[in-house]
Amino acid sequence: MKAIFLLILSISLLTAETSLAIVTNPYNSIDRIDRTTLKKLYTGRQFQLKGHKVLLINLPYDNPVRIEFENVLGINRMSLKRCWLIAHYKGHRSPKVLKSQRAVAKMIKSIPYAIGYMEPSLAEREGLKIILRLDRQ
Amino acid sequence: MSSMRVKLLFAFSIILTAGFIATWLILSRYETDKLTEEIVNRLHIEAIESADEIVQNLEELKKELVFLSALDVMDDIIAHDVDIRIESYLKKRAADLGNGIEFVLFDTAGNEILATLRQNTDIDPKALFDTASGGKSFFNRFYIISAQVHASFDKNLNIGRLVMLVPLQYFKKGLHETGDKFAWLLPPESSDNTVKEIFSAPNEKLDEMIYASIPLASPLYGWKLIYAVKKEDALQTVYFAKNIIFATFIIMALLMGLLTLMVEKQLLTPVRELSRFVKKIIETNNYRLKPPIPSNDEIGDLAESFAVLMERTDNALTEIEEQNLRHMRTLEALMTFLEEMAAAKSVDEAIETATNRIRLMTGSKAVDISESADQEKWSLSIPILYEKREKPVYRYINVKEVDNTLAMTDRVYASIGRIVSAQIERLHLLKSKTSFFSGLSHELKTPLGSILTLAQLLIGSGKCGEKEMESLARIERSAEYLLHIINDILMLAKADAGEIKPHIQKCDFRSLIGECIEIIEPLAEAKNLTLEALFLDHCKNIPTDPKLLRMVIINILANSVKFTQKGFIKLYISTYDGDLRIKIIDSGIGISKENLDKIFDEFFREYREDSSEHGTGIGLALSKKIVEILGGRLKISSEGEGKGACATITLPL
Repeated sequence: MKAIFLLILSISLLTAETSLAIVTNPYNSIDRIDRTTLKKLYTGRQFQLKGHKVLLINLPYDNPVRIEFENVLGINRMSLKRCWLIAHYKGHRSPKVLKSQRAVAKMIKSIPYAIGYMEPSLAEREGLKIILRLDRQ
Repeated sequence: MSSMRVKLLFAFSIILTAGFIATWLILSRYETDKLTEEIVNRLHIEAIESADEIVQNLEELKKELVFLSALDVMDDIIAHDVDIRIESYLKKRAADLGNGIEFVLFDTAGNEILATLRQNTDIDPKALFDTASGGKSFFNRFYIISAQVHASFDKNLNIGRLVMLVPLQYFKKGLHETGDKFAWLLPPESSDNTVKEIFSAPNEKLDEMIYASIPLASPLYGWKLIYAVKKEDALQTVYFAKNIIFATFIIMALLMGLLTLMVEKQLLTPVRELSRFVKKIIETNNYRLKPPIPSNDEIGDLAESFAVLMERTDNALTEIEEQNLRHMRTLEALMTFLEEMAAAKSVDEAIETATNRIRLMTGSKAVDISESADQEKWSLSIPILYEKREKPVYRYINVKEVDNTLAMTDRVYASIGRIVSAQIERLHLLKSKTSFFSGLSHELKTPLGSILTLAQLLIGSGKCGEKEMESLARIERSAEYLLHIINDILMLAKADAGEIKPHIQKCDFRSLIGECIEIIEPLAEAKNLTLEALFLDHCKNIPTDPKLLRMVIINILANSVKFTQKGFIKLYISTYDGDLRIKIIDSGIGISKENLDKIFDEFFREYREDSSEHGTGIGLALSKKIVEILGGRLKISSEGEGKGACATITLPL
């Protein structure tokens, strides 16, 4: 019991160090992604990656990880809704919103072309492929 | 008579029964079939609607499921153990749908991700998944609808299976049982027993019901939907109508009986009474009976008319009777008239009698006899041939103010006229005959008296010789005989003319008969005959004319002695039935039957070879006349020739 507690504590310390990890299914052919492309994907300006279909996974609007992710990427939260509305009318779907990072991890494990963000420790634990690491500012 | 009632009853019964049977048959066959058909049609329509509704309900549930399975939130299946959004959503849907509808969500491997099971916790998820994947529609007590769930972002990505459990009772939602109507679903024969248990049919046998059965469309292939009503409920109206008709029949039958009785009472009874009345009339011949007038209807009219007819018949009969009576009286009067006229001795008497009689008969006081009739002045003139001369002379009996109490017709008046004429004529004749006879008698009697006186004078003088004396005695005898005959003729003439008047006085009959026998006895003794008189009753104080009666008896006795050669002459005197009877029986030669009628004719003498006696033939005629003058009758009878004769004098006492 004590050991588990210590483990969780150490993980939380780790996450505090390494910011966010952009992950995808290990079977995905994509190994790297740059910040600009990532920002374009999450603001509804790009929908494919090297000609492949992409399923973007998001967290709920008021999730701290999401807020942090968007802050790091420099996404204007105020205009986000408008961006996706435009995308919607162009025939694109907004990112899939899941409630927790665990659900995100599960989803990415199931869907080969899914891309999401989470704490790096979780991604490592789940064995997901990290294609970009975002440092906190 | 009762046959009329039977006939009426029979006719009424036939009409009623025919109507009843016709109505009954129509109701039983035609109406029942028609009604059944209508009910079946209605049930059929309802069944179709109901089936549509059931299928529609299922279709809607299916749509719901498809809708749910296509929700974005279904993507959560992929991250099933970390999210409960689907669960809350499905539970809410299940609660909204109600009716025990549940959802179970599986992932592609058949693992249960979540279930909204609130009651049915005993469901094996694995078996359910297999059933649903196998495309089967039934699981336990449920109808299952399942759909694959695809990822919202990739329609080709199967991420699981959503199963909707619909309790089988849900089907019954589409059934509408109202009132007497039954509705039930019939699962296919191959269904599980659990299913069959749920859809049990009603207890009533199908034979006793009117029903419509239709097969259900997909997804319930093989199922049947049945709508039914009990026959007795459905055909209630027909049964009711039948009952009403039966009741009506009974009532009609009763009314019919009543009607028959009424008709009999109103129609037949009066007719019967009339008929009985007519029979009574026929039996009694009493036309004065009043027929019963039973009612104011036509039969009453008939009876009244009959009464009038009866009255008229009675009047006519009475009239005929009266007329007959009048005719009878007229005849009687005429007879009396004839009798009186015959009794008239002279023309004046005849005329007077006739006048009086006509007064009586006609009821008229004004009767006058005149030689010349004044036709205008008198209402009736009866002509009488008064005297027959070269030219007939008529007198007229004039009658005024005739009262028709008697049937005095022209023919009666003519008869009266003829009778008077005949009598007058007869009287004229008689008068001439009598005057001739009396004249002749007187003329003969005078010289005969002289002859007789002179002969007796000569015999008494004693101056004649014996030979002359004998001649004189012969002359005297012949003259006496002749005188006797003349006296008889004179007497007869007098009697005919009605100039002999009897002097009735009471006399001792015994001495009268004795006197007669005394006179006849020497004659009888001379012929050696026995003569005796037998009095069977006391005959004293007999009112008669002894002189005339003696004459008659002596005449008859003398006649008997004359025609009897040997034997007896007997007199029987008796009173019988208020009459005095004198019977004179002899054992003489008798009278032949053909001559019996003629013996009273004047101057009749029977020609007989064995008779040596001679007579004038006046005696019996004279005797008869005298007896009639005395008011009696003389009757001569005989068994035949040689068997004697019997003379009977009947005199009233």
